[in-house]
Amino acid sequence: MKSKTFLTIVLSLISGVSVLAYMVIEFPGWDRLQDISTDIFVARCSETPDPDNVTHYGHRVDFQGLYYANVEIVSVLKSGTNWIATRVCPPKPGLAWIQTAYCPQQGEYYLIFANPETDYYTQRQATNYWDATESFRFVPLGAHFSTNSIAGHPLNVQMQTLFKASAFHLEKQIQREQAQKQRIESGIQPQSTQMPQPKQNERASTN
Amino acid sequence: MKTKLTTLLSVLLVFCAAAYVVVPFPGWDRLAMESEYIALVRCGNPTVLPPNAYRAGPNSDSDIQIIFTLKGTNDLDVCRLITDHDLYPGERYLVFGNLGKNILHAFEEYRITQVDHLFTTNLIAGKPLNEQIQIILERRLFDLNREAKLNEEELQRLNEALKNEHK
Repeated sequence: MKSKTFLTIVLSLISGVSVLAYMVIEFPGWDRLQDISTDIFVARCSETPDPDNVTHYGHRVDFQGLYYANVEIVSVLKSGTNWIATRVCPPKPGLAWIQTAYCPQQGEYYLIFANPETDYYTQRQATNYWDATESFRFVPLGAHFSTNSIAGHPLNVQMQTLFKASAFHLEKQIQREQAQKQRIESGIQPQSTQMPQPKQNERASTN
Repeated sequence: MKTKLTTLLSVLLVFCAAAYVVVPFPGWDRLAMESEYIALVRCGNPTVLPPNAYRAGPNSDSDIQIIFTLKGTNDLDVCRLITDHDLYPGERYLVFGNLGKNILHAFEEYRITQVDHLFTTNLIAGKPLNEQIQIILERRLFDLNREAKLNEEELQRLNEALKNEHK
């Protein structure tokens, strides 16, 4: 009897974990990432995701640690627009939602390697809803980005331009954060060791 | 000659009107002493200016909500923050500012320190000002170290992509 209860608890736990789990792949390299991402686009984050993870339906709280980001697509680089049989909604400029582990910032532009999200009930692609779970699928481009810089070029050239822009933005950010780190270190007294620290597994707040 | 002088004077006048004084970082103790208002704030949306109005000066001008006052008056709720630091809606910041007509002025970048989402004000409640600032700075340092690692990884990935281009 006891083993039956134990087995039931274990099975319940396993099914619970399975429901909450999601698959994350290792960074496969940019070429492979381009291949496996059905949609690649540049989008501007229209609202920093709620840290409590309220979805765009406004009622569900997610326990997986994923964000539901509101973005505005400004330029589509790659998409299967003619797959009418399987796809109902290729990305086009305008509002969209993205499920991701990366926390985008309002007003910043991102190059996003995404896949369409399937509606749980209809098993078809949900309207304007994409999945870019892994953080490396978001490449930050900064707050000042013009689509003119990539207009009319082949995909590879567009990618290189965007990677350069991102590297430039990131280097500037690293410099800024380094200066801030030095400033903060100068203000921290060595004897104050009792200060509470956030745990290692707390979700990263990126900026 | 008169026209040149008038032009020069006009340009100087415009520069003076648009200019604001930026002081180098004086150290945390002095900054805490000189700032008349120190608070933990939550950033709202950027302030909407009236039509045809032009914002000269600092980078960011946003509505803010005061979450916790470390130093200064307690009766403020919502006001504006003007600063050179980039502000993102929804984020929390520790601000060393000066208050004027419901506008918190914190021009210099070092006056703003970002605080993570999981920070709770209970951690600093009832403690002396110096200790409160220390707690917030230590959390930020922890975050910066973590972000530095992530940024390095990202930069490495990007450099890899850029190297492939040159091959």
